[in-house]
Amino acid sequence: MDKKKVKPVVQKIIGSIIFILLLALVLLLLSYWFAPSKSEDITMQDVKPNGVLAEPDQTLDVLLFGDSEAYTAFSPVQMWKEQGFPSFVCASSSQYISLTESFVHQSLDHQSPKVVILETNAFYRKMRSDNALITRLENMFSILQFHNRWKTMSPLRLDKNVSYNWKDDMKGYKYAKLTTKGKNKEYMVKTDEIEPIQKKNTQYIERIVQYCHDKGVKVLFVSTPSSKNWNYKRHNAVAALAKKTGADYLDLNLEKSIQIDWQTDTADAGDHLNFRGTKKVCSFLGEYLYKTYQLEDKRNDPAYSEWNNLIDKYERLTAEN
Amino acid sequence: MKITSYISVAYLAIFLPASILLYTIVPKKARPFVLLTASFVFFWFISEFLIVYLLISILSIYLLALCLDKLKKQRSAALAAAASKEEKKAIKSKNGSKQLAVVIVGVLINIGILAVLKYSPFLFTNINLFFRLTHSKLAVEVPNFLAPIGISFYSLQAVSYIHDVYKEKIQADKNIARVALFMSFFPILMEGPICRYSDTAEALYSGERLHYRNLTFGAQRLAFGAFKKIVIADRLNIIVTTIFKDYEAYDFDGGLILLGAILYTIELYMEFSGTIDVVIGSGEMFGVTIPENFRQPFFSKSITEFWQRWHITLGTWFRDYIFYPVTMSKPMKKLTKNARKKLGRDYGPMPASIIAFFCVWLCNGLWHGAGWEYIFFGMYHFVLISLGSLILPLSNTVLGKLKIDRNKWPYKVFCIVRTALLVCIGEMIFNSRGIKDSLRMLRIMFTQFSFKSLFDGSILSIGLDAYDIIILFVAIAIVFVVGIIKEKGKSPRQLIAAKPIFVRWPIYIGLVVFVVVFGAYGAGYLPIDPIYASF
Amino acid sequence: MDRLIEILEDIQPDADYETCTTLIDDHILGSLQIISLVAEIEDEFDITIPTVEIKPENFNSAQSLMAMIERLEDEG
Repeated sequence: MDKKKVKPVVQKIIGSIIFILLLALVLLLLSYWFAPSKSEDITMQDVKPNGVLAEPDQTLDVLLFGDSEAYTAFSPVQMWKEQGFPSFVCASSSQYISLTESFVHQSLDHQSPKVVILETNAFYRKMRSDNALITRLENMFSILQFHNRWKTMSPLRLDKNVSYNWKDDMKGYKYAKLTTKGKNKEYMVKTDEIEPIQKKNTQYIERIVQYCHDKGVKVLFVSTPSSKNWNYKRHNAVAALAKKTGADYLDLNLEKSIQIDWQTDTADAGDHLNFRGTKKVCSFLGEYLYKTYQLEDKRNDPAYSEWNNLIDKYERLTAEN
Repeated sequence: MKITSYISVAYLAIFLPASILLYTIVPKKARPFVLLTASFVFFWFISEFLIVYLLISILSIYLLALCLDKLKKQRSAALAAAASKEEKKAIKSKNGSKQLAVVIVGVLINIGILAVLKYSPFLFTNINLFFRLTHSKLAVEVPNFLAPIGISFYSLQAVSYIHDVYKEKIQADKNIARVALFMSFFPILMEGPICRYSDTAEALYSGERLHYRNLTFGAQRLAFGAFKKIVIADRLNIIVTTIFKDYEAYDFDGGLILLGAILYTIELYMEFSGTIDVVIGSGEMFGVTIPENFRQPFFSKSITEFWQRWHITLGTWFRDYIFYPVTMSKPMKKLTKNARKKLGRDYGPMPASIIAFFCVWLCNGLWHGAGWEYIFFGMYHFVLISLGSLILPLSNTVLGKLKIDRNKWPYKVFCIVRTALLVCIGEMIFNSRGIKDSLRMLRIMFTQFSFKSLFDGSILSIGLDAYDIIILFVAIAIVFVVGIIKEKGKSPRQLIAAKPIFVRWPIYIGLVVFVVVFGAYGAGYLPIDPIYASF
Repeated sequence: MDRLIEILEDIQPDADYETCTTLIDDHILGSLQIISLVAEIEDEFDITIPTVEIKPENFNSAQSLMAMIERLEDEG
């Protein structure tokens, strides 16, 4: 290579390296800025589960976690109406079990429920553990994880203390009005086969159960009725995991007395329940929880008068069913 | 590794850099094979063993083109030896029909695979429907095939190659590796653009070394494409999905449905053109100029012009391989000649072109998907374009009488807004869940039109908060400004490159930071499959 | 050449065909005009214009059109 050419090439290479380093530096600084002050103080990035943080401390007796199966199947106000115990659904769509863990930690800082419920559909959501490089990049540049906090942080205070005052009148439940007919086919065919849960997910679940038990909170796995997502192989795997971790397990798909009619009770042909299905599930689950965990009926407790006021609004919102 | 989109960490941070690195460290002669290997690996990642279909296509066009080449040589040899004019004529016609047969075989193989994989379920479902309507007890089983992603794109490339060899626009390639690379170059595999052999084959196979300028300019285009997709399209997807899926449940009025149509159109544009930016930017990094697929489509003043600026390579494909062959066929030429005598200058070419438009738009609709809503979408544009051509002479007279100047800005703005609205309605049909659904949405739009739900806060209840809306406005404004600069014939990248370093670098870094911070990804946003990859 | 200009003017009156070299690029001739044009030229000069010849290089100016016509006449 002749000398004249060498200089620009070297210049360009050095220039590119400086540029890339500069970009990395900016991203690292942003990562520092955006990262929550305490590691456990991860914001619940979805709006609905954030509502639990606005509930008064030590008022909730049941906390429910999971994905869209959970927020369409569990309606705290419905269960309050019937049994009188306060609960909250901290579910977000396509929730990863890792996110569940941080939600559990965050809400148990403020609440001491009798029982924590984990909806089991999220157990099978595969986390991207197969790509170590991406996970490492994400850890280093945590801006990739926390970037959505720009909505909640105030730029001047470099926000390390978010105040949560948004309350959800549905207590985390998402009202599904539509009906899309499904088929009443037997999807829970008994078998001894097992559909294994991803190893990484299992570790997270075990950690969550341990954390709750350490705090003296019981854990119940619940499989909501879903002809599309659930089957007996999954039931077997979750039952085994419950046994191993010391959690309780309730598979609503096997409770014939709920009488889910897949022609009328589902919003999307067997994937999620609609309000009609939710009511059936909540009547059953409410009674089950009330009896199994000896919950108190707080409907006459003046401290919970606000809950009674919610019933009216709830009935208006769901009136058409 | 699984790659589902070009705008993903897997592609942008791993696959593409690895390919570039490998490309540059091997000797020049091996470079095309690095690209070819990378392309096949890429195809394997997304479609696994369905790669067989791609290999069949490549092999078929390679061999048939050589076959054509041989026939052409035979013809010239025979013509040189022939003495009389009659003899020459006989040779030409015999050889010509042989060549035609080869082309037909090529088209049948390539379009045939596409048709069987993509359209037979649709066809069989409708046959059953017909049986049921006629109370026949007959029923056929509806097949279910897996089609590789991108088949609609590379099949059209295959047809263009065979056709161009037949018409002697290009020479048959004796190197199968070059044909394979032309068909499968990994950036264009999933969502096009539909390239011609004469556009890309040479450059792909040349093994040109990497250039600093190509790399940096390509990288900038990648970042801008990611910006369009992650900040705008993925954010809009939330609200658009809700409107299109649950408009009945929420009781939306016509105003909100129209808003949904407009937002979906913006989403589709940002998503598709953003991906194409990444595709062209990737090509640029290897020194390959991939043809542009968009030219600021929303500045179009008519539907015809819109299709010259939106998905350009599909439009020119239909123009060159359907529109002109139909209008220039013998019977159509005759029709035009007679029609000109009877209907005059303006309307003379109408009958032939309306027939050709019909073929083009039927194919265009079907190309986008096997479903009646897509055919409806095609027919909608067929009617608009045909009406546009029919009305043009009339509207010229009316405008002249009203003394409205076509070239003044008020009329231009009127045309642009009108065209954009018509396009949005078309895309609404396109995105509906079926023909009934699209008709229902159209009915609500026109019979229950009001702006009420735009202002009573309904918008904020369907997935986006005020922050998201601000970001959307800012980001769309940026794309709009870039569009204006390009429309004026300038290159935004060159303008920035001419600036001093302390202006240039903050712009580049700012763009990346904007995507990272304000992108609609991560918890709370679902990853979205690319819209155009399924075609 | 005069015959060609005549045909062009009959098809699309407002353009200067003697000098213009961007008939296609500037959208002076749209696809409809091209269809008419091909039909007329074929009739007038008694040739067949194959579809491969329908490309911007051939249709951008009257000169290039004429060159194409002459070439096709020779091949005839």
